Amino acid sequence: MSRRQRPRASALGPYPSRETAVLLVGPPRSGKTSTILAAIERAIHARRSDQVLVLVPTASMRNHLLSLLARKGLMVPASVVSTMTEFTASFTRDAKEAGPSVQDRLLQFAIERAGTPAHRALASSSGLSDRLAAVIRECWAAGADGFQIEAVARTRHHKEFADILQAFEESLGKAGLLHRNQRIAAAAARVREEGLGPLVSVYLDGFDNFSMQQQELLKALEEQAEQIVVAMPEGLPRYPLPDSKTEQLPETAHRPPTEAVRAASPRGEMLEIARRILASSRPLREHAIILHSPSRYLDDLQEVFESLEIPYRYWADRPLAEHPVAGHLLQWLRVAARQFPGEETIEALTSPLTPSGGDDERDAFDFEARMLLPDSGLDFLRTAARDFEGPLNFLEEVREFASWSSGQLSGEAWRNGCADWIDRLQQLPAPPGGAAFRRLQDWRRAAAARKGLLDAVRDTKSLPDCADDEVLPLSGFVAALEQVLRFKSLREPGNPHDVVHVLPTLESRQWSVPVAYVCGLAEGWLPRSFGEDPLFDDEDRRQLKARGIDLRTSADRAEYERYLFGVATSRATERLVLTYPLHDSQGRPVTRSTLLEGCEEPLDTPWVRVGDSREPSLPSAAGALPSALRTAVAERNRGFSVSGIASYQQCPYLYFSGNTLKLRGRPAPPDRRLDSAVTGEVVHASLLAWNGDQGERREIGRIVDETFRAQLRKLRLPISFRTEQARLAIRADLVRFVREQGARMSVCADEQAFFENAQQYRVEELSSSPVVHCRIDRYELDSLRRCFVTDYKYSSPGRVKAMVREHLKGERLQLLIYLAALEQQLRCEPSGMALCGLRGQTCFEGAAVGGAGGLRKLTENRMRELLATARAETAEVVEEILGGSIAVRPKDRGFCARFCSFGSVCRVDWQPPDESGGTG
Amino acid sequence: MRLSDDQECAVKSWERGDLCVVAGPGSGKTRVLVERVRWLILDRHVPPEQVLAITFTEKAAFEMRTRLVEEGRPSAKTRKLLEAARVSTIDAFCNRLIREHALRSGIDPGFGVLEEFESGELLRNAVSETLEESFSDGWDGMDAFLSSYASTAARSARADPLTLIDDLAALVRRARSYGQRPFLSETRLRHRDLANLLRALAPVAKRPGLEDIANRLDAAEDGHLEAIDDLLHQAAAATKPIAKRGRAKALVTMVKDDLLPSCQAAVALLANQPAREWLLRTTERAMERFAGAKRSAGRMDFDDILAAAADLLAARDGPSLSFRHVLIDEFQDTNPLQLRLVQRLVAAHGAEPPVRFVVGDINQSIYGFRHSDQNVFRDYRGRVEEGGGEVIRLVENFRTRQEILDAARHILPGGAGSGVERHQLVSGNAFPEKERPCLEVHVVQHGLKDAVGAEGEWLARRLFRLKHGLRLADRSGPSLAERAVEWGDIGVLVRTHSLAARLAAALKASGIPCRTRSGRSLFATPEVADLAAFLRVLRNPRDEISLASVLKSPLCGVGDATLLQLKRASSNLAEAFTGSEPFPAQLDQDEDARLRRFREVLAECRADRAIVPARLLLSRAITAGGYRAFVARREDGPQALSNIDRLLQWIGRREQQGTAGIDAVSEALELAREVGLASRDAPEKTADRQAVEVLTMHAAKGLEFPIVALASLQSGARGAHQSLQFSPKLGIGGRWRHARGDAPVADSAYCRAHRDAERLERQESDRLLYVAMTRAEEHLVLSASFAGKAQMRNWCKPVFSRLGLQPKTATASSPEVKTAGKVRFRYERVAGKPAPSDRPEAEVRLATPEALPPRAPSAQADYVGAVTSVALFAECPRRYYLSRHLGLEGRAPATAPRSAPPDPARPSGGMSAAEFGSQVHEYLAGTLHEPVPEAVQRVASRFREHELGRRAASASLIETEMAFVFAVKDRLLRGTIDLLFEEGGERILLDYKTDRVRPGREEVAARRHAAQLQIYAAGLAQSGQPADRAVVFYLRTGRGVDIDIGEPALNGARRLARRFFSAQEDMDFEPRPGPRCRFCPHYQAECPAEIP
Ligand code: SF4
Repeated sequence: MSRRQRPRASALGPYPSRETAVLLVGPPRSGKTSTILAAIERAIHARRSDQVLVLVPTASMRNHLLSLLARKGLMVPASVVSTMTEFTASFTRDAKEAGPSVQDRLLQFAIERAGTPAHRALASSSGLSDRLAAVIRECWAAGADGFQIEAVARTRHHKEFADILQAFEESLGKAGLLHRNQRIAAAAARVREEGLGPLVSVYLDGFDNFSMQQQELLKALEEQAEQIVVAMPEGLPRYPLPDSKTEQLPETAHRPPTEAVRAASPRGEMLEIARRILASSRPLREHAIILHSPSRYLDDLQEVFESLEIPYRYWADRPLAEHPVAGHLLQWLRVAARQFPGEETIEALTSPLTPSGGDDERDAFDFEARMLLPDSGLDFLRTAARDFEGPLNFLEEVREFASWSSGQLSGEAWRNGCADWIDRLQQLPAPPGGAAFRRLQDWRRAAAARKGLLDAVRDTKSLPDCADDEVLPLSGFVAALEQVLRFKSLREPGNPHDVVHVLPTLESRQWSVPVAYVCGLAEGWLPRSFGEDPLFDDEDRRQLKARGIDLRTSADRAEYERYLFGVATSRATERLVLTYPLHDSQGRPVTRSTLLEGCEEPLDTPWVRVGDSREPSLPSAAGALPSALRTAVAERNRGFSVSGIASYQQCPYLYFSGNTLKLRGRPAPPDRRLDSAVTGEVVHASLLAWNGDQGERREIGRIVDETFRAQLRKLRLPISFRTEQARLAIRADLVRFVREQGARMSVCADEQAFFENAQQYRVEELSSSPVVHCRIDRYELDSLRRCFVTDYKYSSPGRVKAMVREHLKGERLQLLIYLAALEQQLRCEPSGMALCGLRGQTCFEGAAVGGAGGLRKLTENRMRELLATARAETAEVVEEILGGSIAVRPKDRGFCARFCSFGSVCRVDWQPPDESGGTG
Repeated sequence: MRLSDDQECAVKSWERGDLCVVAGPGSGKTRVLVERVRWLILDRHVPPEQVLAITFTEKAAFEMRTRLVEEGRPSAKTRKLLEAARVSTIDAFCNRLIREHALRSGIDPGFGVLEEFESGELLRNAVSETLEESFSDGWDGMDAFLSSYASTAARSARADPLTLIDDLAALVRRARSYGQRPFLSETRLRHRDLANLLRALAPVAKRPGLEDIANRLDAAEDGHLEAIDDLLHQAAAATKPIAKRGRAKALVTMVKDDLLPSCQAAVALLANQPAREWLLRTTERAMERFAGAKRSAGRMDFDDILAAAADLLAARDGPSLSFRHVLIDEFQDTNPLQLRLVQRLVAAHGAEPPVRFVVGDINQSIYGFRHSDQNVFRDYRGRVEEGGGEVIRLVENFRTRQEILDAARHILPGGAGSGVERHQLVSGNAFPEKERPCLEVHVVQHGLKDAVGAEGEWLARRLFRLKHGLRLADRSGPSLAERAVEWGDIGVLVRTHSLAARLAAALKASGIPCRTRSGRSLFATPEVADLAAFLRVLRNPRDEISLASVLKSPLCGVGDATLLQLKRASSNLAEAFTGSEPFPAQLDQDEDARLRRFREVLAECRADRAIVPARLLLSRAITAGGYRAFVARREDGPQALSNIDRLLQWIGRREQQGTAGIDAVSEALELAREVGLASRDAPEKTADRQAVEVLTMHAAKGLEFPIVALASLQSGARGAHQSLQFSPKLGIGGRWRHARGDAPVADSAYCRAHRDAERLERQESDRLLYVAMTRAEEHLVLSASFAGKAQMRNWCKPVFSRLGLQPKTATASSPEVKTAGKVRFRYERVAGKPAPSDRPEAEVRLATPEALPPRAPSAQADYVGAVTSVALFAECPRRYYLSRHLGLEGRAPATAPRSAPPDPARPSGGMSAAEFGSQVHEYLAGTLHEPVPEAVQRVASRFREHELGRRAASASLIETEMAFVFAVKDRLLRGTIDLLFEEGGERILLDYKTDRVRPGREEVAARRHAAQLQIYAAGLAQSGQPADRAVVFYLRTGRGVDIDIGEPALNGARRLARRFFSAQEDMDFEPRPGPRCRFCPHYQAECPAEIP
């Protein structure tokens, strides 16, 4: 700024009063801001813009005032409006201010140094430092430092707090850093020393309170400028500049008609608001939604407005750390700091922000790598990536990163390396052209986040333990970066023209819009209710106030809340809509706000929902595939299996999805791999090995141990409590089995026994004579060529008994198909079948002609009948399968819920509960 | 309405000492509480801060608060006074207390509250990790445990890895709910007592063998458990045939039911000592780990909060509270942990404890499954009575007809062994006279299957008749009148959620509009299954099961034939579906179109999955697919619609708490689905009167209906049997495998806890029936159904036996009116299903919400633009779009190859071109304070020494680095003029450039910069201070180039600015390829253009 080159024009400022200090007080929208703007306008017209200055609390308010002026057709020098922070900074350029993350870190040190053991235990929790920092800010704003607090401390806790505060202030001092309030005080001193240059009139607008130091600055401005005008709302507890002249502005604006709306939930409120906006003929920018507790509404608002394609702009910053772009970088740094743990690294690698190839390739790689879990480290990833160029190339880069990031480096080196790595680890491709507004905003936000992230990396420099020449490991740098990110915010990019404005109450102070919606008028939300402060309760605060340290009590805060309600409800010029919910978003009832008292009784609103862009219709679930697809079905069902037939019997759709379509899900995570199929396999393999032993049989326990270990290796599972428990269970079961049943495993005289024998059953009833493949656990042939089959089940006795019953009713086919196959292939006489249950208790159940082997007795005729039904049934099933039958017809809905993984494909849950009502 | 005498008496007691109000159902307890607060504050002038009312449910707190507000309504002053009283649930009270005193309790003041399922998950993890740790520590007794522990969850008698984790977690939860740590108790083996009994029994039962067993038992040493166990086994076998009859009855009973099992249990306890010790150790370690996990996450669950609050209040320097009056609602629902808190709360007031005003009713204690303990209230009442305090009984009921109250009293008279205390209820309300009985009993007998469905159909018919035949009391006018029944007047109450679902289905099938809180967890609904599948597909579409689910769901909506076609086309469904290949030609056109549309949606969501929250991606897919429209058409549409919203909100909450990213969100959702996470029903709409409510009795607590049907009396609660028990007196108990066989034996602690639980369950069942019956105002239907023979199980027992009914035969009988004692009732038996001709016509459909159609998607122009952006736009619209509008950095331009590996030791010195430029500008404006680099000074001097520089130095008016804003139509432009000065009557506008230009090429370079100066000039002209001359000054060559700022040029600039904004609106940013592309960071990256 070179304004000082011009001689100071000695004239009173363009504000029409002749007083030096004017306090302009009026109700909301009584024209305080426009009075000030008029003065500025006059100054610009008179080419005296360098003589005037408006100070406002926030940058968005500054921009807002500037645009108001520009809309009057002026070319407005931006320097006429400035935030308090910019203004103080221009007077204290040489001062170093401690940013929030530095303060936080120093405060943590102070807690560790001067706190009690209880404090120290919580030093790293952000909860404690945040709480302390809030109180410290209050103390500072009230002009008190650690020594003053100590002097007035009443309790042990106050004393402890004073200790921490002193330690904290001391470390700020040592580092040569000022905090914000000190800086303002310094600016005040500078103003007194140096004067204001060409500045003649200073205006302040938009403030509703001033810290001690700000008041000091006001006094300095009063001394140095010819005129200072402070515009403030009515009804505040305190006003600055005691000697000023107060000009009271009368209320001018009429009160617009007000409507109260009640909705079922916060989301319902948003829908109500959206409904009104959609119905209104006004441009979107003439609507503003004022959120007093944004966290309760933002999600719903975003979702509802997006779905209804209503563009909006939220006028507040959101934490940068919440943006996924920040999360992505941190994720990479964290996995690197932890030597690349398997699952997390896969996730990072397959994030679309990572430039590791196209999605298709990465998806395939993802599955490949997950199968190798729980391995970790870069090597296993390279193994998984060997067929995938994108991931493989990228892993090379990661290797390089890993090679230098594993050691200790200086803060500066980390920063440089990291900035470079953001470049390589993150890609932010442009969205396809023609994207709608909301999507465009997503990408603009992401790009802004990425810039913010780079800033954050740079800002770690200010942290004492991450300074340029401090040496630290990667984990230390990550901690520093996280600390910085905690205090960084992300501004909504762009300034869209025709959008609904969504404003936090404080931000709305300068606004005036035709239609305003104030939502959340519920008890505890607006006004918010405040508990007492854990450090200084209200009693403490009253006492401190008596000693000149002015801290706000909860009554003060409640008062301020009411004032804010006044602010929120006075933004509308044409229509004001007040809404409240009956329940919070989790369904808890809420009481409506006392502030609604005096408003019209709200009406129940019609029940609305977000509409969709189209009306979908689902093709009705067909029981069978069209006949054109028969060949396709046949192609995919060249052979059948006994278990396939059983699954068709359970439900045709189950067969279709599992066998015809062969749908496969994601690879099971390690802790899910040891499922019942696997334990069954171990049991079978162990028995086979045991049976296969020639001569001296090995001990079954040892066999189980070996097969189990082999299975674990196959599944890439390390031995753990879970696996050991499973192994012990199987081992005990088989040991018992051998002890109890080993001697009488056979049904007949055991002329010849065959194990794990593969056989085929040809369905001769069908012209194509399709084949059913069987794998028979054990069968015996006696000298009369009578055959008996046995199947081992790792199931409990009850279950086994039920299965045998089903066989005898012809509802279950497994053993019968085995028998039929043997009859067909070996020309033998099917004579008996048994199931051997091994789990928990050993049991041997079945039926045989003449009751051989102590099994249930069957007549030859009955046996033949059973076989005939089984053949017919099998033929029917196979024919239906080939005929394309895919009906969703579960035999038992309990099975669906517990065992079937295709429930979401068949959509059985969308059918009404079945007759038996049994959902398990 | 005036208070009744009893109520008044309760409200206005002003004795020193505690008060206990026993408030029967419908006796207006909330009213009494509210009046009490009002009376204390307004009549007795107790300062409101001294009044605290504690409730156990949010609903109760809400009701009290609302009524207090109503009470205070007429005057703002009274309202303010009444509102200042603290009315809060116990959880909220503790939460606030802890927060306010976090620092003294050593608690993170920013702690977060863990939802129940999160805490459950943390606990399960802690247990699982502890087990793994115990394993890697070399078992340490674990194998002893595993070989003897018998889990009931697994069908086998052997422990299964996952159930053990659940069992231990359940144990920890139980112990915590008692506010205790797990412990083991000792037991005494009373085998000698048993021996004595056996000896006495032997002659009476004529079994001399017993004598021998007795002697051996006597002789057995205490430590010889195996021997004793054997003898016990023999004793059991020997006594088995002895009947509990005749002379020996007492003896036999004592032996068989008491001493023998207790000895066996004691043996089990003693014999499994090592396993039990391991169990205790492991549980303790798991609890520590659990606590540690919560601490490091800065979170607490509700039990922690209660415990911490109790500790805080008990601490020596704890806070001193200033409540003089503590009112407690529903005291019968207090659990031991809460009781501890309440006691401390009262004690925390120092010498003069506050007056307690406690309201409760043992007969309405139905939350035993949450470990509430009705003895708490009983003890309190006893103490008040003894201590001379007042116990007031509210017997007047303002809800129910006397006939129904009589029926409740007749069926559940109360007394020893019953869960219900003797009670007396007098109806305090007038009802119109009624001829027909107000009580009905229905028995439905049906074949073997689906008796409940048949019951629902019969009930539907009955409800139709009642709706059309019954008249209800109408109190809306000045005098008592009658009105017709609406569906909303009817409540159907059942014991379990699954019954509710089945009955509701049957009622709906019969045309009755009804609503049920499905009880189905949100996460078990088919809507959520679809959406969860979509999230899985977003993660990785190669998950074919999920992809097939999504394709078949209304999000896409294709059929199975299409799936098969796709699957034929490639080995993985995803390969055929994603990508840009056309779909198989054989596909039906319609299906092809659907696939294509969904492919686009999925591609968009996948592209954005890393930068858009999961909640929004899901919501976008939902709207794009028309998913809501689809579910809205279904029978349970309203519920399904709200499920969708609830799911989105749930995800949003998780994302706020830091579970961000598709992977994490999807995983959390899968977990919630797996554990069947319970969730609260959030009604989207306040209740309408158009539907019958079908709900469980627990959910009906606190509600009332003119007509109540209590259905399926025959069904009982499915008591979940724990594998491990915890009893506050005996600690951990378990079931153990027996050495002899696999039949597990429960140890003493387990038996004790189990017995207690069973007794409580029985008693609570009585109370539940009592609560359910007293929900009715005017008419009560009791209905039961039997598949086959009627059995007097569960509630059939009290109902049928007290009413003198024996519905044994499976025949129908026409309705008759019967009496039992004072009770008159209508009795009807039906069999089979109602005839189809008897089906009533369907009446009303449930209202569904009306759809708000979305706006057409639109693009948006910014309303502020930077002049430099406009200039860049003039150069190449695409470059502006990528660099400025989107804010992409692109890659470093070609001149700086980026392949160089990062050099961590690289110094940060060396200025970039941009930094250099801004330093020069600052230096020329006189605002650069740091030591000025030589290079900067050198470049700047080129201007200072130039003629223009000299003129500027002697200018009469000079502005440097002048930031400004001005309007172009309804948009704003923002810029910074480097230099504007007046000298010799000429206003000169000047812009410095530090670009590298070849000497002599300045004119050419200036073409790029002309637009910028012309816009500045237009702005100046607009504000009435036009410039006379505009110059671009190239500092590196020291030459200025004049720019045309004649009116036509300025008009061109204005047009350019307008085009700039309209391009944003139309999203029209053509690339303008040219040689300078080589210097563009987007060239060959985001920009598709080729240099021509
Ligand atoms: S869930 Fe049930 S209905 Fe669906 S495919 Fe599986 S078995 Fe069939």
